Amino acid sequence: MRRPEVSKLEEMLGEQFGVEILNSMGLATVVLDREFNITWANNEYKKLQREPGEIIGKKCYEVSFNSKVPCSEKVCAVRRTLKTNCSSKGLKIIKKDGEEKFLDVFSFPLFSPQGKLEYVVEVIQDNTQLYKLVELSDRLTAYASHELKTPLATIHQLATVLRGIDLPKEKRNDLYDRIISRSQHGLKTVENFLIYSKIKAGELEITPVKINFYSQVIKEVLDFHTDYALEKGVEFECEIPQDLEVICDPDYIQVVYNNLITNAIKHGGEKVFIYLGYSEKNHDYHVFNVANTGKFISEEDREKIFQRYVSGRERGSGIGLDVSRELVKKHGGKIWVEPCYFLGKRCFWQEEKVKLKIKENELTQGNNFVFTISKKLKAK
Amino acid sequence: MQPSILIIDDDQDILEALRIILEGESYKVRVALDGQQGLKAIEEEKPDLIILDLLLPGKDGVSVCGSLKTRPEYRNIPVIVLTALTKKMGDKIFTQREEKVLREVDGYLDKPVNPQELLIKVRELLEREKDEKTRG
Repeated sequence: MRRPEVSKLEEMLGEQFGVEILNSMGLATVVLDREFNITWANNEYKKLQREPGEIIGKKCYEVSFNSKVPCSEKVCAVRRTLKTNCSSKGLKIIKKDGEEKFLDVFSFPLFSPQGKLEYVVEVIQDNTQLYKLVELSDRLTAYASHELKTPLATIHQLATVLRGIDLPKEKRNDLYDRIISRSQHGLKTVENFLIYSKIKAGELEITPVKINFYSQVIKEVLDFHTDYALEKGVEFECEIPQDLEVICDPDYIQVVYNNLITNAIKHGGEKVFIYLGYSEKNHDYHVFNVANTGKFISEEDREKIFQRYVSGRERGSGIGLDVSRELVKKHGGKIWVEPCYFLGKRCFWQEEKVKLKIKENELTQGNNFVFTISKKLKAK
Repeated sequence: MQPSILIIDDDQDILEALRIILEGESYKVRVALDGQQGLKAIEEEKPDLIILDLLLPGKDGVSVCGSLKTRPEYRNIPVIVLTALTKKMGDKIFTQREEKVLREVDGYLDKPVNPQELLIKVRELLEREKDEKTRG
């Protein structure tokens, strides 16, 4: 027996009642007959389809998947409802505008007064963002585990050799140095992940102070990388003025430098040359650059490399540059990469190369990571 | 003459540790830092055994393996895959084709490797190869 107030409400609101509610919730809804023909659909459902146009009277599998046959019972909630007379749920993955959409589907039966199942209502929630976030989180966890496992495995390997094999003192010290260097780099990786989680939680705050940039950022960074770099045959050249004063958060700017240098060493191959520079020409920004002679980054990859973790198949394609971009943004600046040119140890930006009319074949091509810090930052 | 072993790994510290372990047993050790260098080193002087990392810059370990197995002159060189990717994780990220290539390797050891375990595997494979050559 229906409660009288429900009938009254339905009478007042008419048949739009359910439709309005479903549309306002942003849920796509469709009513199908037993042959999968669409007998009614709301606007949200129409928006989900591959192409615009009339869909009433068409088969649902035709409009969603361009298929001539219904989907299998395993994946189709509607088919299960038709079979069992019960409600069901499932996941539908469709392609729209070249992108995959992840749709959670709930289906339930509509019976005639005689108790015969006549229609199936399908309610669809577009959870693409949620599924993508879960997928990203899974990949990030796998990536983070691997990034941390690598230095730990190396440290373990070196320690095993130290313990198990009788080595001359000089060799032992070399292995100890390698352990110290790798553990320091492992700590830097952890630091990146901690900053990354702060960024994601919206909790990243910087503490700008007026500093001598060379002694409080550059020297620290170069000291940190020297041993590892020497071992790899990396050469540094720094032309940042030793008396340069900047208002910034030195700890976080060190992280930016560490990421740029670590990447240059990782991807630069043997004997990479790294140049640290500064341009004082800009009125509003301090402009710093970290150029390297490593593997040339193509134009199409220049933006991609700043996106957070992607493949995990090649080392270093991680969160370092994404973290750096956020840190620079907090300093009111920007970070990007552009081509540069080396003549011996001299680094030229594109416009300098053109101005100086240097012959192409005398130059080595490289990558110039440029980042800026706003001069308007106030010291706390 | 001592057997020669080529290690292909982009981690210089791992290379150093493995070099110490293997040279301690008087094996002749050569190293390469990526897949391309590794294949060049094989062409220059065919090693008796290869120790191969999977995650390498450029041409990765699976591709190196694939190249070796398609070339008759190198097909029989024993390959030990030594990686920080565990088999379980490997299962998750490798494609079917890569899985097929990896099934053809002669050994799969996790990093960090127990030196004794590595030496046992190396000895076993070198002896097997020697026996096959004698029989062949």
